[in-house]
Amino acid sequence: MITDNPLIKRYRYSVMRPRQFWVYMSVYIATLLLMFLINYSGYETEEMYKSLQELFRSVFYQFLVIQIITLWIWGTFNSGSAIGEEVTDKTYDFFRLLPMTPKAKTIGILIGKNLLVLLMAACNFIFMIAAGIAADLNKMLLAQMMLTLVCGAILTNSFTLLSSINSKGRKGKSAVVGFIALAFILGPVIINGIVELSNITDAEKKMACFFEFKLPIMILVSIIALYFSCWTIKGILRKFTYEDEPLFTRPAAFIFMLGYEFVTFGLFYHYLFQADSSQLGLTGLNFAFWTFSLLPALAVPLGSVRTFDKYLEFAGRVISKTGDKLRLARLTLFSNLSLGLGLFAIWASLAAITSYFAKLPMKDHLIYIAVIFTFYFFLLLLIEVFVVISPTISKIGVLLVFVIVAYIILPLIFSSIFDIKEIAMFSPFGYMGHMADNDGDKTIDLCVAIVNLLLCILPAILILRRHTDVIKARQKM
Amino acid sequence: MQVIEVSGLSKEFGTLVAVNKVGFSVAKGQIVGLIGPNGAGKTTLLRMLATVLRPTAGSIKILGYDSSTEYLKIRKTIGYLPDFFNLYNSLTLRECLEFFAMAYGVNKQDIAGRVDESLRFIELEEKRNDFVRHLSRGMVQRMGVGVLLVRDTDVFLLDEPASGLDPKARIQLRDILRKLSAEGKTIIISSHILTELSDFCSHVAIMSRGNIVLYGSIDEIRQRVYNARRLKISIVGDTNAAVAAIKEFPGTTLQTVEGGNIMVDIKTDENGLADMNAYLLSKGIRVCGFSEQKSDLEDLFMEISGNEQSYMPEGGPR
Repeated sequence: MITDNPLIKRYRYSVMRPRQFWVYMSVYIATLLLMFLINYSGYETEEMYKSLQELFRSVFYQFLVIQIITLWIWGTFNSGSAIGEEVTDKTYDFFRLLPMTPKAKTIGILIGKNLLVLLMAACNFIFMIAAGIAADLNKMLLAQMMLTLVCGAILTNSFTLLSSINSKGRKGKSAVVGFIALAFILGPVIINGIVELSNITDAEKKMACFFEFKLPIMILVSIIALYFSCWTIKGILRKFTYEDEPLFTRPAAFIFMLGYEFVTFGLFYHYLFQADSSQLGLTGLNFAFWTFSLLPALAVPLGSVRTFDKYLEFAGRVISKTGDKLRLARLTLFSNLSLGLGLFAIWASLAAITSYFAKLPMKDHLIYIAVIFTFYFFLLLLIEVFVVISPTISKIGVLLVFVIVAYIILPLIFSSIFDIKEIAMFSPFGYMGHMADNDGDKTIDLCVAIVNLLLCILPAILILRRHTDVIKARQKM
Repeated sequence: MQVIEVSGLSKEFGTLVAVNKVGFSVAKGQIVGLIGPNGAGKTTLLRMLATVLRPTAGSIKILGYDSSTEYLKIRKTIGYLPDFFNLYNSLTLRECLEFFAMAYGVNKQDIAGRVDESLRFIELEEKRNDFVRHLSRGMVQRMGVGVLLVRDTDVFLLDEPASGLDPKARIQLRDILRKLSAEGKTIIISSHILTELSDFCSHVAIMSRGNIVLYGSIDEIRQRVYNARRLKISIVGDTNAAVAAIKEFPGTTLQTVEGGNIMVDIKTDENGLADMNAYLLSKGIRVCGFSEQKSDLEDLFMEISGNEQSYMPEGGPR
């Protein structure tokens, strides 16, 4: 029984205290009254609405915005700050020693921390449905919106909870900061989407393609949100079970990547092969597909880093089993490098195959993939440098972030100062622009690749030395 | 019955070896004091026992459960009090204890009784409806023990429970620990205040640089460190004659002479002490005081500090 969950009971004690509860309720009731007053005045004066149906339609979308703020922003903020609060309140040791199953802890936080949110969301749903019915909105549209709201809320809440558990030091701040940044970026897009949606008639019948299947857009979005929610919840359960382990096991990282590529490919499939094969650069769709499908190859190694301690543990296990040279090779295979390279290989294969079947210029596209690899490899090496150097130089992260920012921005700045557009291509962003606007000459691509590979030399040497040090340190222990 | 069995336990943080191949066992009802300088590895060892930290190598068994696979079962039976903790500030004491009782699977109908019992034990009954945030540090520390008592805890792991407490709160906490020991609970406690530990610890583990240098009852450790008994003999009359007589007695080493008080180390048992007393009387020495000086933990610790290697067991650290 969910009500038997001790965490829910604890949150009920602290969140639902009468004094606190009535403060929130007063704000909520005041908001409702204000909404009523404004809308009713608009209807009475006929300034805003011409008919009752129009009034209720507007009220429905107003509640939709409130619901998004309640479930996706307030709720998500709550879920993302739960672990951070345990740490700052110095109760985290007690929390993690609770002999509750990871499932019970997850449910306890997601529901318990959001008791007020859920209560208000339930009220909002009732008002939404009432307004929707009064506005004579299509029942399918109502159902689809509810589904999207719920699935989106599950995804955003579980994602921030996972980020807060996974963030180093478990302060939970990075998750909340990340979420606020995301809300700033996505907030206007969502609001704009709702405004657009409110103007569309038959929104429930607008279809999107997943491979050759045609599904209503909101149902497709909900299914995809649910799919990724399953991954985030699996991640939460893993982190509550094995706190010190990376977020993904190796097989899980590859399965996640394959699943992500499948979903992205499915979304683009219908449109990808309608591209103009005579175009030299990447088509807009190709460009979007490559960008979206490459994201997890960057995010998974970052969110699932194997630490230096893990290297030491692993080195200890292999020392007794393998010869000197093999030890280094096995450690490299164990390192974050191999994970990144494996993920990139999956992306590169998919990118090449889609270009081939879309009958796009293969040679050009293979060159792009190779150059992207050199960018990716350099960034991957910097992540590995952080992993192997940070135990001895704790501030190495600051230096590396500076290097990455300079790597991305400096070529763009110099390009505009000297008015030579080719310089911009030495930045990953500049090169992305070049891919979409190609003149057919591949000399500069080759130069970019060579420069990137030259840049890789120093971090590669550092990593090799540190990997060797790990083996030596382990032998001495 | 061995409640805690530790063997070959190590924890490494990067290249730092915080705990180095430690091994020991604790029987039911024993109270083990964990002492050592800052950075000796006490907290790391306790956190591994509490299953908060995963060992790099070695094994821990608590009540027969293996910490690597059955950590949830271990967490149900142990009570761990971290070195610096807080409790849920937005809850009252009663609510806080109810939450922990529920989380640790205490029967619903027993919870109220256990909460009352626990509050009585830590002497905070009258504050049951106060918020945790209104408690003093000493009271929070006692509440920490209350949280461990509200469910069935067989093994207590207490990391510096007296740190930051004023003398009164310290005495109250010591009384609580005495009560626990009287109830036959198994306790491992780390503390800087060694005199407190010697009051109620049955065993002591002295840690240094990640190793347990010495482990045993305080008497056993005393014998290993000093290898002799220290006597204080008070005499009336000719001190020089007394010193000469003492020097002639086999197995004695004269330490200090201050007025009529003579400190002597002697390698002997109880019979030997009786023989020495009789010998002095037979020599016409007028003995007005004859007592064994038992060094407290602080003396022992100071004796060992800086000289740890010589006390390490043969065959390396335990």
